[in-house]
Amino acid sequence: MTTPAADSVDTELADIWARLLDLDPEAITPDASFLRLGGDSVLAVRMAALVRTRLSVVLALSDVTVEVTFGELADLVRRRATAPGEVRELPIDVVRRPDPTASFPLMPLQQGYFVGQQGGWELSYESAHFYGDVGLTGVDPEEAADALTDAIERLTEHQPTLRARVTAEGRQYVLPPDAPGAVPELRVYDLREETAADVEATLDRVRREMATRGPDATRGPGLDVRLSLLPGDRGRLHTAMNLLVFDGWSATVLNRELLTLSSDWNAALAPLEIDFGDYVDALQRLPQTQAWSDDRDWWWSRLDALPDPPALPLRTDPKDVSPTLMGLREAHLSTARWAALKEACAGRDVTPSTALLTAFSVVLARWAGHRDLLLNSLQLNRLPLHPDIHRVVGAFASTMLIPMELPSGATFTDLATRAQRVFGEHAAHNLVSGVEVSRELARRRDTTRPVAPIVFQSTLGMDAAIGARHPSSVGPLGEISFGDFYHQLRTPQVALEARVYELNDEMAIVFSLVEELFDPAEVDDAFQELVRLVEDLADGPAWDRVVALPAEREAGDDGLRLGRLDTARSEVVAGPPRDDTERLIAQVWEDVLQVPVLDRSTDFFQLGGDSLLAVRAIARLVKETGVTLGVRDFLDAPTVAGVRAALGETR
Amino acid sequence: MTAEATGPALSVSAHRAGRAAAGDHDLSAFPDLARRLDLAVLRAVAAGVGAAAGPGPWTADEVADAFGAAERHRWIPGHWIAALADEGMVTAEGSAFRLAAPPRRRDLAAVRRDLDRARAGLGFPPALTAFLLRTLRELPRLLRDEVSAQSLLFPGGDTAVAEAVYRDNPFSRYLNAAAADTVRHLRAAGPDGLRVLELGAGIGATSADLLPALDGRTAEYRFTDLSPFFLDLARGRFPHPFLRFEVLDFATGLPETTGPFDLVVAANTAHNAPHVPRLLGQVADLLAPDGRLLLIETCREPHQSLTSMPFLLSGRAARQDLRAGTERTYLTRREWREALHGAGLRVLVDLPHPTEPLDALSQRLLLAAR
Repeated sequence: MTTPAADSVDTELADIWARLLDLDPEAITPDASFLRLGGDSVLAVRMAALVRTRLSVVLALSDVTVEVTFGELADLVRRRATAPGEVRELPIDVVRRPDPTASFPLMPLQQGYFVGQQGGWELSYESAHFYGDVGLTGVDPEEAADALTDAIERLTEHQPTLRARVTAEGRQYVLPPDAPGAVPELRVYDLREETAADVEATLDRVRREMATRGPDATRGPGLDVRLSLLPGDRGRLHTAMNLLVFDGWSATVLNRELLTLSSDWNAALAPLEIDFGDYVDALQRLPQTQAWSDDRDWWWSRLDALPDPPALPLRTDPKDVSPTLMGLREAHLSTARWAALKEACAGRDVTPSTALLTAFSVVLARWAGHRDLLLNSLQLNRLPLHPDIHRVVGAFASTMLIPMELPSGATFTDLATRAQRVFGEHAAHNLVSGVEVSRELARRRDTTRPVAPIVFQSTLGMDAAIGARHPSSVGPLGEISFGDFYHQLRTPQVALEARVYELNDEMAIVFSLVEELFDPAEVDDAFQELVRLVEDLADGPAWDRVVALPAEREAGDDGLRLGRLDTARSEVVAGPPRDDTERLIAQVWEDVLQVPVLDRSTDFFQLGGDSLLAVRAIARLVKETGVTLGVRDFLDAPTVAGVRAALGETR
Repeated sequence: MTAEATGPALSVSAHRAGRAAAGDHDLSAFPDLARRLDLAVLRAVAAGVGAAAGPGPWTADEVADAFGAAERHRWIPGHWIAALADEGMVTAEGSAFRLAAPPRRRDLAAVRRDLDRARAGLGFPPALTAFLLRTLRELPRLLRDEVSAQSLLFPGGDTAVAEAVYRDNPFSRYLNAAAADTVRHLRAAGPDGLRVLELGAGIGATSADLLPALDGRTAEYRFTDLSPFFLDLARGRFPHPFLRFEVLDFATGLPETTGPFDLVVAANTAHNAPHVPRLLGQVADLLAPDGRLLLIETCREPHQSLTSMPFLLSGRAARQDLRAGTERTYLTRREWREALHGAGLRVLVDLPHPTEPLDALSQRLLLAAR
């Protein structure tokens, strides 16, 4: 490796910052922090990828914090350049797989979605997907459908994940571009001659259909695109994406590319050197590395001290609901307030994401009646292993558990600063995903229920990290009305999810929740409280006030609450398998788990089983015995004896 | 007559070598595929004109205005309209023209596919499709001189596109291999070995085949081009010790004192001379007795080059020969033969035969002797 000279490091680095932050390089002074100049954690990952490409310097994940100043980073880059090996480098490279159609395993979160689609799991749905439709004006009705069809075809060639399929065994592969059914088919509703009432009825029907029966990569394309042509050269563009193969970041990339290709028959997207499969393939080598072991040890040593999820009062036990759609609450922060909030955050060296996470935690603490909360977060960051990675579509997303421990008597600024540190510290150990950590936590807590069903997701800053903005004018499709946007999300294993994202120059705050679980009035109150708090943060006064929080959590029975649900199981007499059926069950488990199964009372999950392996074991048992065995039966008593009893009951 | 083969025998041998090098292709499909490639590009040009100027009617000047064309490129829209009119893609309305049919997305998507299929069928690498689509995308900026055709032909200094056009395809392989075959038995006039001058050598697409054929009996091979970029490229590419590299603009004249040469090579470049007969006369003067001139030339402007070649010509000196006052880039086969004859040169080889499928792009090899 050549050592970049001091001034070339400064110049290159200033150029990278200027590009990402949309600043004049002159405006970047040594003591300015990435955060203060408008950066955030997503953008920081993109910056690390650029530093890796342009300066041949690999930064450790813990180096790439938003608080880093330009001077500090420049020093660091120079040190890394002269002393390679000192850093915890990401010890793997992404390269093209020799056979692009070869199958590869599911990522941990994909496994979660895959299993969630099997039915029978707590808080699961037929398909996990995101649905959205947006208004169009000035549509050329003669050309719009052809333009969109052409765009879908080209996008399917450009982004192999549009051709991804998931097998019944829980693996995935990519179809060749010319395979039958590889290209998602556009459906068009020509409602130009319909009455207003008929138009409304059809749109409602399409929405309901797309939101309740999402695309499913186990059966066909993971993308469903439809176009409604409406009177007055208006239209609506409907898209549904299967979360099994696309994450939220990918949804943004896909939408942009789809619109870009629609706008011009000869629009070109910069070629991609790698695909999602190449990334997954590279990640398979992670567990053999010291860096991965270090991260696992770091998490495992903290597991027993992690708090419980917020003890939110429930109307129904989650295992007794079978939701089809998630409920929504949505509010927007105006352009001016969103700008003010960003500025207020930068002045306090916290990211807007952290401020929102803190505000959400405050609201949850008051609602749950305690201050130590285990939250889950959806992480859209990709490991910066390749310069193209941010433009690749796939299910890269992961989760990360965050213990939010809110001290009493602290100001909001104190809480947010603390949250920023905790978040950064945890994010620096992200080689082991939250899904894997949750699995181990469930094992230790001896439960098969979701361990962290309250989720926070921020995509603030993602737009800047992806780069180009949405084109608002898209040729034959006319103009996009970003204000006229309807959406629905359905994710398994989630009781309540707070999402924050940018929409044009506004910020949206959304609750997606399983409505059946909560008292709607309490949800409304919590949501309103969150919106008010965020507005107060944008306006200024909330930062320096001491945050009123509940006292220490009290034990005792005060009704049905999240995280305090019954996990008791029937007692099983230990000993070797007792009959042929039990021996068959033990044999199947041994095959699936690759460990000896000697005792009829041992828990499947304690033996190293996970949900995907459970699905495989169930499929095998159904095949061998010819008896139906539901996921629920298996989960209620995941021992050889328990499964034997479940099989016996139905026999 | 020397021991060297006669004209007909030379041609037979060169043709055989060319066919062997062209590779295994369905040659019978070539004329039809070449036509499809041409029409695909022309349809896309029509769409580009329509996107900038609307469906018409418009005059060539109005189209140039609509694009905001730079002064030196203002002639190009008229050049396109002439081609479009020839193919019935625009119809005349007095002195103005109108698109025969408004371009539809469905048709343009088909154009994209046709173009790539024809490209593949003709044995060109995928880089050609990418290049053609890129030039079509950049038509407005090319016309406004905001991007140069050179920068599209050599993006970031990379020669993959130029290799595709001048070397890595059956037509170029045929011509370059046939060319190498014709110089195999060339005899030196001087005692030290052969003296060779190559004009406008570019990426060395033809040199790469000639050099191995000349190795071992060549005293000097002067590799010249207008641009030092290509000399630098060739220095890195060709190890032969008898190579000399030199910047030379043959449009302004040839060095007088450096002859005689046994062989002068001009591959895909001689048409750049403002006055072809004058150039040929100068070359004839540089040739040793029985010295040879080897030309590779395109003899009809294909539509597929309409988005690149005109931009390369715009800055050059006006044509003063039989092309004066026209927008023609190339000479026809017959015009080349007559010009060679006029310079006192005998045509020995003129390949491929006009009935050959490999003539589909009208690219020819001409070998003439003093």
